Amino acid sequence: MSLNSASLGSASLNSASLNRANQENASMDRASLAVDWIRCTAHGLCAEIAPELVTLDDWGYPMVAETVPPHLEALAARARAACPAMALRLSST
Amino acid sequence: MTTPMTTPTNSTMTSTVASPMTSLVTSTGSGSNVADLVAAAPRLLAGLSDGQRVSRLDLGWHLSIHGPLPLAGRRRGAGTLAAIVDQAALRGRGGAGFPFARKLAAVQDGRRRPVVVVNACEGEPLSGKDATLLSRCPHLVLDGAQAAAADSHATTVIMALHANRPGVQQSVEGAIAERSGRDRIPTRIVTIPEGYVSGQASALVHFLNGGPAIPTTTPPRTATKGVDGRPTLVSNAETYAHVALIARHGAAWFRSVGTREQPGTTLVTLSGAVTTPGVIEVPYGVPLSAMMRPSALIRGVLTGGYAGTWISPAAASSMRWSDASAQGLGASLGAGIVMLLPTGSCGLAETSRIVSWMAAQSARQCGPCLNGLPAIAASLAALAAGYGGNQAIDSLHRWAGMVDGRGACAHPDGVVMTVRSALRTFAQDVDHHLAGSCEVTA
Repeated sequence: MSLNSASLGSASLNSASLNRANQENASMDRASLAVDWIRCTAHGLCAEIAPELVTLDDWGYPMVAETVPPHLEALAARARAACPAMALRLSST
Repeated sequence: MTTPMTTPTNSTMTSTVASPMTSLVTSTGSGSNVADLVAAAPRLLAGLSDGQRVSRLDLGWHLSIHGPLPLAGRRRGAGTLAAIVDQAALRGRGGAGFPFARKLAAVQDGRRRPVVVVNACEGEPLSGKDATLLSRCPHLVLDGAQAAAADSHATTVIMALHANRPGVQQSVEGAIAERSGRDRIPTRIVTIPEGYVSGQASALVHFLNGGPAIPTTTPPRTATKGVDGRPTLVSNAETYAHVALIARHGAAWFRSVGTREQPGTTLVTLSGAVTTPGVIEVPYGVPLSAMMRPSALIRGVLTGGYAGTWISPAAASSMRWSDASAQGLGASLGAGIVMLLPTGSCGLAETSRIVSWMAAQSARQCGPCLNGLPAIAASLAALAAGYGGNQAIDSLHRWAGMVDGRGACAHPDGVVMTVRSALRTFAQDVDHHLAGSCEVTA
């Protein structure tokens, strides 16, 4: 799945299983970013820092890529660290 | 909190426009009807739905019909409760269908002694099965909780009820009083604030821990860390009732009805344009057409509840009450709900009312749900009222994709299911509404 912001905003986000995969399952090979929806209050820093991984929905809340490719793991870590609400979880296997 | 009424908008049932919707045909190939079905398979409802017609089983009646609850591990040739429910392949009856044995094992896996919680909140407006069980045969539910507590060495047994159900509460209080001195850990009733999401497992535990009755982020799941930080078994009231019978009669007995993948019986609440609204008990796999008789020409069928799926009358007439059959038709069983919409009602208007209500039930913790559900509700209302236009349709699809799976609980997911299935099943009505007219109100 292409990770640029154009594709994230459309067809790839139309199923609960796809979105929930972000939340609960780390992929076997890759790191994954997940949003703690209760903590998140749409500061938007994650999308600013890592537009390759995060775009914002119509209400300013993050839509994160399902998996984080190895070359973007450092970027994902920076996004996680920058969140004022500590609402991002980065899990890796 | 008032809920939308699911009555026809026009009580004189005139089909002035020819509708391709066929009525839900009651198949009588085997001569079965609702009464036969209910009488043939009363397990949970034994003594209540057959010849005796007792309205409530007190402890004496309960024991004479079901016999005593065997002590853990003492059943002839049987293992622990955990082993028996595993063999029985009992799945939860609260809507998620999670294997009960796995939940029980998770709760027993920790170092701390668990808490057993009976979830009898039943916040789904179209569901009445748990209220029926607790009003009419509370001892089955209490037995199941005791069996699970004994098997798990639990310290506490809690019955969670919504506050505004005095009849149910009275029945449970009476049953607990009758059992005084008999139960190792007496069941304690806790009343939960009214609300659709307050009966969600983590919300329930949140409230029991002194917080508000709104969901918390999981993991950790309540089975791992719940009330007082203890492993907490949260299961639906009906699930515990099945446990009570499995403990008595065994796994093979439980599996002797139903399907191989989905054994046993289950309770279903029938509402809308049916001749016999109310709660029935059916084996899994039974055809929908054998479960009820429509009282009018049918426009659509809602299965699973407010967070459920609309299907066409044709699909409903071919559907069996099982996950396998439901999935094939894009339907869900939910916590056992079937609502028949007559042709005098507009499916889009009905869905609009449901979704508006569900949007108001949001816990308002998660941005996509808090923002997205009212936006979806507004677009649907515009569509239902005939002034939505194609933009309303586009918005519905866009926002459905944006809220689905993006929350601490599955509340938005449920609304998305209802909306998408409505747009699919009532596609013809969508076309009429886009042109500014409605078959029903025209």
